[in-house]
Amino acid sequence: MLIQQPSTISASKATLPPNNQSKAFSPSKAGTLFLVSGIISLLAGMLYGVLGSVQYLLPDFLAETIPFYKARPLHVSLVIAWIFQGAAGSIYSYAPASVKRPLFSETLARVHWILFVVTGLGIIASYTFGHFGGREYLEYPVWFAIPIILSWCLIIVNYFKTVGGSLSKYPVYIWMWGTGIIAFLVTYFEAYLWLFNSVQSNTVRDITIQWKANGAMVGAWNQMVYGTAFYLMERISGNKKASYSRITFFFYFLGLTNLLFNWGHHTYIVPSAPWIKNIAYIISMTELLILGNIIWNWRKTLTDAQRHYHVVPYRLLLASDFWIFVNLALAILISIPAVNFYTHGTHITVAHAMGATIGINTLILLASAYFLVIAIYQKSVTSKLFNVGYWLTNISLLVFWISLLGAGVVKSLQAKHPFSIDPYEKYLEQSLIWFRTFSYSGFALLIGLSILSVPLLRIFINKTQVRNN
Amino acid sequence: MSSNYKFLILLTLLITFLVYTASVYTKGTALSESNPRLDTAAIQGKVLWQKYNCSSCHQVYGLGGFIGPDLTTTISQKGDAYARAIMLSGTKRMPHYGMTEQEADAITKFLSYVDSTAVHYKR
Repeated sequence: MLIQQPSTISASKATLPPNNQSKAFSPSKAGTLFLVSGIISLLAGMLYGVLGSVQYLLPDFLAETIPFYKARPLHVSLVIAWIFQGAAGSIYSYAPASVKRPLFSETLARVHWILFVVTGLGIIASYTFGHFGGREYLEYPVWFAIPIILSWCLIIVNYFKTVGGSLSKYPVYIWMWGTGIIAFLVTYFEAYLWLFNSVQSNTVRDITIQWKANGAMVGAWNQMVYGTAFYLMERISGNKKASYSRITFFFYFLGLTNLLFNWGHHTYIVPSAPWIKNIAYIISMTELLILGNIIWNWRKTLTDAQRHYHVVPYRLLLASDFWIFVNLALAILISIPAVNFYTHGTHITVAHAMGATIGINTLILLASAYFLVIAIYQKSVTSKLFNVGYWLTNISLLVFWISLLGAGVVKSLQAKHPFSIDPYEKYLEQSLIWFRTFSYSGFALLIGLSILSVPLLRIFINKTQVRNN
Repeated sequence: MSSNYKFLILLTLLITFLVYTASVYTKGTALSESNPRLDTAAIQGKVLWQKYNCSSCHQVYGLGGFIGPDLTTTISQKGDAYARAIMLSGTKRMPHYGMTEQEADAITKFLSYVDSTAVHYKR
């Protein structure tokens, strides 16, 4: 779906975006700040993830200092913060150039960054000291939502003031960024409807809305991240046609439809009205079209890969395409009600979530950060160390993903009913080999992602250059 | 694809979404015999569930962590007393939070309500 553009640049020039070879690129500084704080969030989030995974093996490990009920929200929130910061940083950096207009307000963008980072530090402190009060994925005390909403309003104003009122003439990624930004705010409000008594006092409504908000929120950030991927592919290939084509807009609207309606496949076990699940199932199956499109374009992708092999952002996008393929296949499989009944509430769901956030979102956003470095400093960043980080990240993620599937399958097979609590300790024992594997591969993944992202940080912060291979 | 078509599709999607969302918020999730309204004690239990971040380790209807068991039907399977005892004393994996008996009662009440709605789990 993402890697489908024919190449027009030669291998010798392939380390630079074609449209930036002759002129300096001066993106929003706030965009760079978001990418820097985002990468730091990613590394910190991965570290907490590794600590949490060790607690599966050794329950007493750091049990007093960072117990699992603190490590998990720190891990999840920091990684989600990375995705939002990476997406915001990319949008601030690329949207003005895409519409050939300056950013409406650099000051607003920096205020957004300051608000986001200060709130984020507050949330980290809150988790560290054990102050909760929110819901799954948004566990912080409720009042932290106020600065998050305010800061997001700033990017909405800045974005739409920058691109102007005539979306119609713009390429697909301008639409994707716009709908993603708006959709996030809507889903974020929705995630707090539990504060109203009519939701709070109705278990089925509360759970259904919680799944609706969470599911659509993932769709919202996917719009922003995939929009960035489309932008990068256009710049790398130099082919602008695809971003305006009918087929691309068809898949954009299909993705938007899934964002709005397919969340219900999380609620097959919730006793809400059957039509909610039926609609979700039908919509989820339309993803088969996206999957088919990926397979259709696979051969062309491989041809392009040979041409662009030395373009760092391209290689990261290529890897993300592989992860889109396997995660989409898994998503479609677990959207089938009969399969979902046994897989829901197992590590198979976690495999789907981790594969998507790391394999797809993180690799696309790292591609964006590398693209920005190349564009600003006009330097190649390909090195032997990058190759090590690239392969370590992808291989360890594959092992990690398989180990989560393994743990999920054990749970599904081991219990006579997947939600039975009777054999839980037994399940933990039987899955020990899988937990060991995901803990070790999680550590390798942390190393791989550090190798990929620390050089970026070094360049962004010190404005030094990576020594070329 | 012309601009008019794009906006028409977008508008159709948005209107459909609004109608669909309104239906989910009302008829799709209405109170019923198997989905009774939570009383004050159960709501207090739900607030405590969030305060202690129980969902970090436990799931309810698939929402939550995986290091502890899913608690959607724990009351009908293990009983109130068992749930209260675990909450008050902790386990090898679960920290001892120092909950009061009133707090443990409130969370148990909340879990009982959840359990009563879990008809699909018990098929």
